[in-house]
Amino acid sequence: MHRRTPLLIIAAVAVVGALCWSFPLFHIVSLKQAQTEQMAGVFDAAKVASQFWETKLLPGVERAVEVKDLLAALAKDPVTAGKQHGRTLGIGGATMFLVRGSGKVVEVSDDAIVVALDGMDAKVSLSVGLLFGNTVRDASGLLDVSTYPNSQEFNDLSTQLNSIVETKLAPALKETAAVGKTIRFAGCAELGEDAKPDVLPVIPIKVEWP
Amino acid sequence: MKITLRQFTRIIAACLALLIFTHASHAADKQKIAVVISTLNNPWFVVLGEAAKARATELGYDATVFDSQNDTAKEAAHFENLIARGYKAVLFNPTDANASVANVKKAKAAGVPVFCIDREINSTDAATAQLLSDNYSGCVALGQYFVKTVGKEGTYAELLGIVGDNNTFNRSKGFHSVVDRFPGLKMVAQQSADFDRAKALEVMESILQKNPQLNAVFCGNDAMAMGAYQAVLSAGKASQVKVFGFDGADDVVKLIVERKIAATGMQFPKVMAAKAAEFADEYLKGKRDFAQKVPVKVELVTPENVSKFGDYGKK
Repeated sequence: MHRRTPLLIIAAVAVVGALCWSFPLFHIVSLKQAQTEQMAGVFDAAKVASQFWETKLLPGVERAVEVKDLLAALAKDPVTAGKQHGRTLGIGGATMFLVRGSGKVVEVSDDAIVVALDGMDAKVSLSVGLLFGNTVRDASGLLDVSTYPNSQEFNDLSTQLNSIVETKLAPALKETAAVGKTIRFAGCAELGEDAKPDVLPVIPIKVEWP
Repeated sequence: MKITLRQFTRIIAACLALLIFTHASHAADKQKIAVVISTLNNPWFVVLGEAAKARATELGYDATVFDSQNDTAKEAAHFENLIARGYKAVLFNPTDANASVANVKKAKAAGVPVFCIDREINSTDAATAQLLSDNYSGCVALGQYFVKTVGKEGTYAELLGIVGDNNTFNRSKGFHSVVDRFPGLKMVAQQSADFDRAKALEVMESILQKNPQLNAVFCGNDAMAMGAYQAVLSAGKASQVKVFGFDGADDVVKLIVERKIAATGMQFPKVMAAKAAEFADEYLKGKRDFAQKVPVKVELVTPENVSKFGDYGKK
C-alpha cells in the first residue's frame, strides 16, 4: 500500500464527517416529541365541538326565536317563517332553527320530555334519546362549512356535538324532569320540506327549572 | 350589367369565404368549458358529466368532457392540456381529495376558475366553489332506515369506496354514527371495493363464503350495491341478505321498486352539475363572491317512496 494512502483515507473520512455534521442526513428526536408533532396537525373534533358549545352556541341562545312565535309564523306561511327565523345549509337542505321557550312538562319518557308551551295550545318534544344528524351543528348558523377543507372534520363535529347533549345534558334533564314541573329551555330544531309536525321536536342545549 | 362566368365564380367564392370566416369566428367566440370527470366507467358519473356539458352548452359555451379514468396522472395531463388550449373554466370531479389539489391550483394560477362537483378537494382556497352532496346526513338517514328494516340484532358487512375520496368516509361515518349505537348489530366484514361493480362482486362473494349467515350489506355506492346484489343472488341468499346502496342510480332504483334492494340515497347529480355550469357562467360574467362549499341534500329512497324518484333525481 502506498505510504500516503492511510492519510488520504483519514482525510476523506474527516471531510465526509464534517459534511454530515453540517448537513445531517437525519435527526434523532425523542418518541414523545415526534408524537406531539404528529398530533399537532390532527383535527381534534371533541375539543373544537366543546369550545364551540361553550363560546358560541350557548351564548347564541340570546338570539334564539321564541318557539311560540315560530309556530305561529309557520302556521301562517312556512316558507317566509323559514327564511325569517331559520337557516338552510346549501341546496335542498332542511331548515334549522335555534329556539327557546317555556312551559310545563306533560310527559316524560326515555326518548323525550314533552312540554306544553305557555300561552299557546302547542307542545314541543325535547329529544333526550339517541341523537343523529346535523341539527345541533347547523341550527345556529355559527359554523361555516366553507372553512373546513375536509368535510369529514365538519361532520365529526356533528357526532361530537350530539354526544355533548347525550352525555352532559340529557341524563340530568331526564332525572330532574317530572310531569307538572315548569321548564325553560333553548334548543335546536329541524324541519324538512313539507314537514308539519304536531309536536315540534327540539334537541335541548340549555335547560332551567325556575 | 353583364358579368363573365369568371367574375361570377369569384363573387360566389368570396361570399362563401366570408360566410365560412364569419361562421368560424362566431364559433371561435364561444368560450370553452372543460368538464373533467373522475371516471366514465360508472353510469352515475356519466350522468354528472353529460348534465354539466348540457347546461354549459345551453348557456352558450363549447363544452368538452374529459375522462380521468380514476388516475390522478391522467387528470393532471387533462389540466395541462385544457389550460394550454385556452379553456375558460373547469367543471371538475376530482380523483383524489389530496392529490387533485395541485391540479386545481395550476388552473387557478392560470386564471381558470375550477368548480368541484360531487367530490371535494382538501383545500378551501384553490377551487372557486365546491358543490357537494351531504353524504354524511344522507347516510345518517340510511343508517336509521337500516336499523328499522334489519332490526337491532344481526350481522352485516360494509363495502367501502375509494379511500382517497372523502365521500367514502363521510358515508361510512354517517352510517356508523347511527348503526354503532346498536350493539346487537355486528359488522363482520369491512372492505374497500373501490366504488367498482366488478370488484364488489368479487369481494362480496368472499365475504358470503366466510359469513354464510349474513343479514345485510351496506355499500358506499350503487355500483358496488349492484355487484354485491349479484353475489347475493348467485349464492341463493337474496331473501336473507338485505342490500343497501348510495347514489340513486337508475338500476338500483329499479331494484328498489322490485324490493330486491332495500334502499339508497338519491344524490342529485343533475342539480349539482347544472349549478356548477351556472356558477361558471356567473364567474365568466364577472361574479366573484361564491360560497366555497355548497352542500346539496341527499334523499333517502326506499320501496315506500321510490315512486317519487327516477332518472337520477326527483320526478
